[in-house]
Amino acid sequence: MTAEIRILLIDDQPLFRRAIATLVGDQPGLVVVGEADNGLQGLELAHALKPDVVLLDIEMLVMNGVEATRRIRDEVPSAKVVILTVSEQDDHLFDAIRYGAHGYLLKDLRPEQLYDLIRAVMRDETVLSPAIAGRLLREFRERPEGRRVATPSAPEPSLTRREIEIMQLVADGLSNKEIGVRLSITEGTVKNHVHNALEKLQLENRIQAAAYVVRHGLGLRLGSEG
Amino acid sequence: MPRNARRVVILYAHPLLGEGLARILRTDAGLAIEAVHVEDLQAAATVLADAPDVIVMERGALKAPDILALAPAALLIDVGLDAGSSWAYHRDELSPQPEDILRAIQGAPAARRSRPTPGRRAPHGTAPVAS
Repeated sequence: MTAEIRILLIDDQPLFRRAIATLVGDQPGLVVVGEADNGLQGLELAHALKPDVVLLDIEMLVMNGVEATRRIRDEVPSAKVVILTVSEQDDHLFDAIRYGAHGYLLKDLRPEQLYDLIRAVMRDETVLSPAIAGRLLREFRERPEGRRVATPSAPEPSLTRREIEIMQLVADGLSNKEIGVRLSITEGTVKNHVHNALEKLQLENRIQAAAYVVRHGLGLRLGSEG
Repeated sequence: MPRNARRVVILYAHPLLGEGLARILRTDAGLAIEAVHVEDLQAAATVLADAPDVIVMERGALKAPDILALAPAALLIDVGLDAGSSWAYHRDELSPQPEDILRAIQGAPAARRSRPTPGRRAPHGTAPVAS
């Protein structure tokens, strides 16, 4: 039997929080283990509850969601942090990603989409609202000298041809499963390649990987075949 | 569902809020809940044609005075995704006579005279409720 996905909700709108808790709590395999109305309280609960997924708003008093992302990723690294917000501000988006958020979702999702995305992030997939994904990639295409999401150390790491191929598909927004189908390999193999590539590039997640690939284009240097 | 169930219509822009709220309210057997995604007043008018008892409206594209004009007998509750107050619009009907207006103001219960959220003015005939 698959283990339940334990979720911590951090949002300062209690009605919205209750709505999400009610919807998510009715889903098989998903359980809301805690709720907090600001980032600091959420951080404390993350320490205490060790959730699998933290759904986190951005604009909150006491500690906002960007700072909470940084602290939770630093102090409770097992938790996947997914921003769920109305904010499309570039600063929030890029800071959250820089601090290691695993996803950035807007609150205009339908409930079924949210359930699917929570499950997807537990499969190590990137979860982005379409508008956010477009903005992220456009930022890195159009502003090559702009803000860096990640700063891999020189010299440029050696990726295998297969890892490059997979990273490019990650940048195209494909899930591990979709990449597996595209390349006729198993989802587990894709996951291993993604893991290895992220490690070599010193990146924390697929969002950063997508940004890296867009920024570097096809310039990734080939290493040994794999 | 009881025949005398109160009919509640939820007009929402954000499905997570509207459908989540509907799920919460459906646990009350005395309420008949209809939750509808609406983006404009015309769509709201269609939904409100049956004169519900209570309307819960997500603020944004829809404005409370417009909704009250469509369903003047309903209790209107206006909620939002921000952390500020929600508002209950009461159905008190007043004549435009100054004395009637004054009497309504003087007779308002203390709870209704609480200060609105800073930066936002309380609409006439409304009271904040916990959200």
